[in-house]
Amino acid sequence: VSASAPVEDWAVDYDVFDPGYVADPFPVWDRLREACPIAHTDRWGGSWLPTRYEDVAAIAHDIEHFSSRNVAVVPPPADDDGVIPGGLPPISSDPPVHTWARRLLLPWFSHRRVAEYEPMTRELCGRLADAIVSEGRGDAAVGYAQQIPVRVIAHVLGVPAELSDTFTGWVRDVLEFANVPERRRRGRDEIVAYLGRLIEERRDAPGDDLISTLLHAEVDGEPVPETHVLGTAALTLIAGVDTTWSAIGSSLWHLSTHPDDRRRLVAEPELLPIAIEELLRAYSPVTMARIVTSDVEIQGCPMRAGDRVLMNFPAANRDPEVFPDADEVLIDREVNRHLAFGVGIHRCAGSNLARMELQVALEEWLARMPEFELDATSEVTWAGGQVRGPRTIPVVVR
Amino acid sequence: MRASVDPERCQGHSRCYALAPEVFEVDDYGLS
Repeated sequence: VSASAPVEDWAVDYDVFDPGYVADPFPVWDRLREACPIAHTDRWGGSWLPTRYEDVAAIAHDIEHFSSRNVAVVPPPADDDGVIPGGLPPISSDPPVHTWARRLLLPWFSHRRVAEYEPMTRELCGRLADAIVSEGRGDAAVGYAQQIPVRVIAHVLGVPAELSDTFTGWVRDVLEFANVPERRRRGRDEIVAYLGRLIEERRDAPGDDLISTLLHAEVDGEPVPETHVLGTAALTLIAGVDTTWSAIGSSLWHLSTHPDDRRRLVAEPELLPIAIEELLRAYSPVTMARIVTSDVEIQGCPMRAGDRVLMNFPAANRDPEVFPDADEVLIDREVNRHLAFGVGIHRCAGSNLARMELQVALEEWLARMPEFELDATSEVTWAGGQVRGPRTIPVVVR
Repeated sequence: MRASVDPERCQGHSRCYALAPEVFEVDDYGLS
């Protein structure tokens, strides 16, 4: 189903790629939460869209009725499986595979490991910020946020940082352009081909990287299948790039448009970790999908086996039942059990890394550019769907 | 101050360590 017709009733016909919704979905969620907390659409393959915190969290925990076997917001095209052959374990796995697949991945994003990635992240951010300072203007999305997570992930995968722009293109193809079948297929094919070659290389010449480790890992005395290694490596690339870049971008967009918050963070840098949680809450980038395994009724909505449900973590995080003044960004909000990283067994495995990247990216930016604002001659653009965030943030340094 | 960890309920998010690294220890899986 294409989605060119304008939406008249968001409760029964929402369009996650509607440009107005992508740029500002919050009023839609506020209205739905009041009137019809779980919306439905036939667009983009059809899906349900919960908007309340309680419902999103309940569905996330109900792994019996809601499978993760396909987590894409837009289902793959009918003539193509559209996905990586072995899936993207553990994000696309249900137990029992999920349990060991996640355990293999977690040590790569432990606090200890993330601390090792911090110096290179700081050096990178400093270099990127210096370039914007010297120009007096720049794009906080393209010239900064977009450049950071992909290089850290390249480091985890043990591949050259020179390939970063190529990786970014592939990841955007499979996530941001999932509604454009040719781009989605191309991105997927490139990722599978590249990682397949990398696995061959690492089998012959192992290094100190995620792929080499997975190739030598054993589960119940058996080596991990190569399709699994490829899927987990693809997940690390896909999930580690667009998401964190979007969070850094949204944070800088907020600070460019809210000088009081920006000046307070410059004056009180110790507040930054609290502020980052609030920015994650208010501008949560990620929506994942679930597939209904057997007919179930949620809040009166008859969900049928095979239906897709969009885990609307961003809307849950704006629920006034849980967050007072939910649509206000309060950078000193202390009670903040947000769902930006999801909840339950699939909660983000890379959150330590994401938080470190956000902290370092904002620190290094504000240290060099305490005063900056949007360039009024140019436009801010947003991407949405699976991952929401600004794609251009033209700024002028003061 | 004394803090205790209920290993049955710990979900391995490492938030305790992030907030108070001098109090909590976590392993490579984020479990305290």
